[in-house]
Amino acid sequence: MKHFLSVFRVSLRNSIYRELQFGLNFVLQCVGNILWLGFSLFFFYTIYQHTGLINGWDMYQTFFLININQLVIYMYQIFFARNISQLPGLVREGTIDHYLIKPIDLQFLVSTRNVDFKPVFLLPLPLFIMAHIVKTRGYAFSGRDLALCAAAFTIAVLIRYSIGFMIAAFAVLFTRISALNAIQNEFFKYAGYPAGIFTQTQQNFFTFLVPVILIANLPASFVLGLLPNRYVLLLYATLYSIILLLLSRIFFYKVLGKYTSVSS
Amino acid sequence: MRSKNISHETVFLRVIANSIKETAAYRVNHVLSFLVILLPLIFTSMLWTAVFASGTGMMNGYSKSTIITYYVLCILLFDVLYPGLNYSVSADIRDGKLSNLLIKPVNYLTYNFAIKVGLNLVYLLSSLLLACIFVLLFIKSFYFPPAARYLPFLLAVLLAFMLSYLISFSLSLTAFWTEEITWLQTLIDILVPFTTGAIIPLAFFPKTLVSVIYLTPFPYIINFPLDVYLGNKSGGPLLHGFLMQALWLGALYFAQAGLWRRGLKRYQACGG
Repeated sequence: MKHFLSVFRVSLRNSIYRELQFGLNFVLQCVGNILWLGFSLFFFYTIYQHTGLINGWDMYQTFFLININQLVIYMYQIFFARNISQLPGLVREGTIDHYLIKPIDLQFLVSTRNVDFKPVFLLPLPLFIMAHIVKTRGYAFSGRDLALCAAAFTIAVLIRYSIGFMIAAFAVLFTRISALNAIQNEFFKYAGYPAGIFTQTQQNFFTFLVPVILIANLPASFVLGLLPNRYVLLLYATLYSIILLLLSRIFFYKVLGKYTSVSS
Repeated sequence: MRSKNISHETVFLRVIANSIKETAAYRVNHVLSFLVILLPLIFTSMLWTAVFASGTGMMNGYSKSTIITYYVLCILLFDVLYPGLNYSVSADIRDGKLSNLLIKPVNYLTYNFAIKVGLNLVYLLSSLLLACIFVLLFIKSFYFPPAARYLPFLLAVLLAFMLSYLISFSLSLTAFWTEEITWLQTLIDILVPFTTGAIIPLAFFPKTLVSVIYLTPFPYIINFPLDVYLGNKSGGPLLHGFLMQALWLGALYFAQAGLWRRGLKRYQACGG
């Protein structure tokens, strides 16, 4: 564990230096992300001006949901998104050779070698909005609920990571597969929509097969008291994430088995 | 070797054909890109169906039928009409490949336009087919306007496409001055979805904000063509919209020509 942490610390330092080299882009991307969150809130605010509830979800519950989904996106961006997007390039250009010879788990190394710092600066805003909503709306939840919310949140990030990693490994086999990335981004973008918009059949589909509801609706439900079957769903999400993680690992090493170095 | 004069039109059509072939070559990606369209179609129609099921009648002049139609068309046209940076233009400038194209008897603006037409034609036709199937199977309330409105709508989309291309081309020419242009793409990604009406129709915005947005060319890229389709613009406002599209086209054409001339004076290609 100590070994993993020291490698991660070095990656962290290098990432800070790199980010600081592109100051303007850094600021603009931060502003862009904040505005995007604002647009999402404005979108639902506009809808709620015309209706009190969307199948049982009020405006503040939806705002809470949007923000927790945004946090999942930020956590994924901070630790994994950039590394995963570079994986196909590493294999195609042969630069993965440098990582193959390192005495550390390969999946860990290629998944965490860079840390994207921009989203770190964005974390306070959704956290503040969520805290404000909880305070003003007076949602009652226990410490255990909060712990379960954190657990469901971590599992959501893990699911996101496993799917992203699997797609990146898949992309190694093809020349152009940008659509796959776009598909997963689309899916997770809609994870911030309230589960109430789905019919029962659709809810089952977007929970058990395509895990859209597990990403933000499930963690949020422990604070908001929604989704009556949330405890069972958490158990299911845990199993789902473990299976996905294992699959991503198996798939990655299978793809790597076909790898022949192209570098000199 | 037999020399043959080839007209500009033939070159234009051949570039389009090559561009179509290139797009069609990546079949897996092409098939998967259908899903990218399908997902927002599904989620958006579910959301609006749920909203209107909650007892809402009309929202800022939009009924359930017209708002779903707005988003279906918006999702369909967004990628085609999005005025993002044209990375092949900036790469040509940065990597010196432009030299190769400058000595050819083609206009660079037209050449790139032909590539864009080719790329988008395949995408648009296939996604149109998918959207038709989706609408016929799942969206019972899709709005079909009177026949007389299709022609103005198609004209508005065509002008919007050219407008979007000129914005994209002009912005990409900044590569003559600076190598790092990702900040520009970020800026576009912030402004465009909001100001074109791709996130929410502009009719939902406060009036002051709308009047500011209408000072830019962006509302004429998505919101205006969709308003034409839905019949929200007719008579005077319709003509005014077309006039504004034409004016912006003229202004942007001269802007890109000026940038191109100045940029070429700075352009240096290294290597052979």
